[in-house]
Amino acid sequence: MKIEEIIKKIASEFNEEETEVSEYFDNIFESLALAFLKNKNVNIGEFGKFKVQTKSDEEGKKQKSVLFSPVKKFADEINHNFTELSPVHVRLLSEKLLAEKLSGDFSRDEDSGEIILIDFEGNEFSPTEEKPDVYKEALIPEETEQEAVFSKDEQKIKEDILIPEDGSHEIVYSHEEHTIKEEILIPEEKKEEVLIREEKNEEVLIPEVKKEEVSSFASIVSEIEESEPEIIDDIIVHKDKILALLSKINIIQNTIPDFDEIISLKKLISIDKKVHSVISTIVKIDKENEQVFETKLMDEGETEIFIPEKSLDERISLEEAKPSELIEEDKVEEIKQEEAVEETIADSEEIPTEKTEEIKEEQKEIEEKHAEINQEKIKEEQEKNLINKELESKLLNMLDERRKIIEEIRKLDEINSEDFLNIPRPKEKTPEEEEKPTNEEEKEKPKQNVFIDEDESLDKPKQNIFVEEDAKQLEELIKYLEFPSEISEGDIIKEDEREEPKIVNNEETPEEKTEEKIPDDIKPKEEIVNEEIQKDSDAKELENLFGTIYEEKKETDDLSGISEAQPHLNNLEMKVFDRLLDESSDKTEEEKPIPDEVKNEEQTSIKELEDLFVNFKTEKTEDEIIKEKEVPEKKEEEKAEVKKTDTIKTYDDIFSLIEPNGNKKNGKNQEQQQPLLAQQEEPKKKMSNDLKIIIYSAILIVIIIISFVLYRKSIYTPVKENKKLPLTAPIDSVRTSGKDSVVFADTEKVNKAPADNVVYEENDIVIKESDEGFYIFFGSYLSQFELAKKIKELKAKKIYPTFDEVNENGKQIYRLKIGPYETLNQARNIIPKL
Amino acid sequence: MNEQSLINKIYVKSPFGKEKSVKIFKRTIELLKESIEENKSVKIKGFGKFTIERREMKSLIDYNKKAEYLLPPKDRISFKPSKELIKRLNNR
Repeated sequence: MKIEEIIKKIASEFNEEETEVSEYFDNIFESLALAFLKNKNVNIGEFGKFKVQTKSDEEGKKQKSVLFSPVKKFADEINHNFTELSPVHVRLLSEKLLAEKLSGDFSRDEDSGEIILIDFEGNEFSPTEEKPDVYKEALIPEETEQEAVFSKDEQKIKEDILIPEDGSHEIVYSHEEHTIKEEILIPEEKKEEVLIREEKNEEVLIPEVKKEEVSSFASIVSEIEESEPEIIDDIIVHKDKILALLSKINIIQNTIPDFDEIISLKKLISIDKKVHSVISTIVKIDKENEQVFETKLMDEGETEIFIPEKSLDERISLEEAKPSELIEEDKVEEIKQEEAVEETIADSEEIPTEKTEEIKEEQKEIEEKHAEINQEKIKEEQEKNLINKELESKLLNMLDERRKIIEEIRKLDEINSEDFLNIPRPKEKTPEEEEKPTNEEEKEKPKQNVFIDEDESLDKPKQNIFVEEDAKQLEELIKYLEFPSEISEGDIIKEDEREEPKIVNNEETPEEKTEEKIPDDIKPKEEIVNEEIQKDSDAKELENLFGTIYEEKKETDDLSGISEAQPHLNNLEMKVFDRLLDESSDKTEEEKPIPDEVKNEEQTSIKELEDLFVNFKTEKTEDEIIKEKEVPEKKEEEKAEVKKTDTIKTYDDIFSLIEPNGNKKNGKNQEQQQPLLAQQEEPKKKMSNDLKIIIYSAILIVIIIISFVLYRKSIYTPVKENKKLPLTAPIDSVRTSGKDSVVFADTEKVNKAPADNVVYEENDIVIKESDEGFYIFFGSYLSQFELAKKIKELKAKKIYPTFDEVNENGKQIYRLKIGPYETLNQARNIIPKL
Repeated sequence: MNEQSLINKIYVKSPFGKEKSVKIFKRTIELLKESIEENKSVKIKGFGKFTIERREMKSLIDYNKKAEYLLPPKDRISFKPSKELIKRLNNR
């Protein structure tokens, strides 16, 4: 259909004149041409694309042309004859061929479409040339030859055989036929050779590659030749499948025959025989079929290809069921005998008696060995378990001992050994005293039982030292204190005259202590409640015992301090402290009034505590010194001033500083001393000064780092771009000759300021000359943000500027520039783009 | 350049309306395709020539896989611009 016919059709369809339609038709292509002149590509839907291309001739001139690429649908419609076809894998190439083709020795023209016959050795030849004798024999690959010899018309066209992936076979194409799916056939010229060869029974030349396969296969074949020569030919035909079956049989060599292996071997032998028998049947079936078809084909003279109806697998399945029909009578008996033997071997475990006994003995020996090994393992496990238990018990004991020691140490931390002076010993409790009642007020108040929690962790600061039994004893003792009626002034020892006790294992020894005799009548104090003591007589007696406090209090007769005094030690601890005090006073053991109780009691625990107290440092901490310096706030009516020294502490000071829990108090809050039976309070954890310093320093460092990071982010830094040129680099910013050109903005190269050689000026744009070339300066900015905006705008235009930093009058100014360029004209041509 | 922009340029010069010009444009292209398929070549004056060429079967070597392939034949369209058009493009 021509263009004129097209125009007529359109005019008829739309009821228009042909002239107008023809003009419209011409306008289409004129508008396309105009678009091509503007270097525009046109895309028409459902038709295709027109592209304008520039090509350079041999002379170097550039010429434009137009290319057309159709749409897929349109292209498929045109190629409707060949759309279903796809490329076909032909062969694998050897390295020689690849090297020849890479070097340029192209033996074939790819565009011509010609196909050259190739030998499986890689040698080429053309059918027109004279064939040498060598190639005559080796033209056809093995399979085709053998198939032609043994089964002429029974050629298989399966691609697996003819085009293997290994590349061992090389294919021969028919030069004459131009069909697409060319199936490989023996050409007519060669069929004659095949027929000739059949008659002559010429040997087949085998290439070296295949000799390995043939040798392994030949060995199998040679074994069978002796037995059944007729089967050899048929086996070769079905070589592949036979090898697959044989591969299942793993013949073990050079191994010790065990019982199981013997059975397996016999199974394999039985399988071999089965396979052998099956194959023999298959071969005979094929022969019978061949004879039938050969007669047909020879009559007709055709050379058609024959495909057997049934596959080998099907035949095997059928023949296993009915083997006796096809096999000769002479061999049926043999086969039956063999089958009977096989069944007995495969199904049962019966073996000749001689071997069974030996095998049983071996089994027994093996079982005995296994039993011994198992017993040994059990013993080892038991031993391990015992050891583990012992270790666990030891560890538990160690932990218990550790806990005890740590508790005792904590108690000692609170108490200084040097502070305990003149502490009278507790009196022995008699059963009568225990039965005697207490005060009425004390009865009314509930007695809070304080317990020591041994199960709790050692890290907890709970230090409930009091025990019920000890508390009761102390209460009763306080009631039945027998103070001396008359106490002279000489008995009262003032603070100034008192001597400090000697401390063992301490360099700073205080002053020596005067000999003090503890009267026997004196008894220790009990647990005292915050209530006022009813009897002034008891208070007066206490005053005389405990020195200056009560001397000063004579005027006021205030005894609240006494009520606040609170003992806090156990019997054992008291005893230990007494010993240390006696030792510090340089008394001999004879003079020391040691009660019998101490001896009878657990002396081992006391020794342990002594050892700890000996090693315990009596140096005072800073907190204690501060507290000693702080004068506690007291009420004038209730309390008297207390004079404190660094060396000596009074009984009230001691008990005032220590809470019933055993923790220390502030010196100011003596009024707030809780009774012994007060609520349990957890002591506050005090941060040591070292930890505080570390924490504060860490916080400062973090703050500094954060501020530094924020400072860096606030400052604008241009992105460092790669210095490598992209493939599509713009022409304007590239220097063709010389060194590598500067394309992108680099702040590193800002330091080099060009010389003040102005060459050209135009509307705030200046071109300056330098050693490197011509630079264009076209703007200066004070802020980095405006500078960044401008750079982005220019990059969109594919202009990549740099900038210089200049200080003028204390201000930093950023000047944009482009370059360097070799010539001035190159720089001028860029100015309109800016 | 799209099809619509091309039609707008044609519409301006043509006596037809916009809708009709669009229909005529599409119909011309369909008829052009059919003529190419039937005649296997169409020549347009001052513009160029559309032809169908057959590429015959050929071999192809894959060096990576060291294999050789056979490509089937194929029919494809080719466009050759006319000399007038080339002159106009190059004499700009």
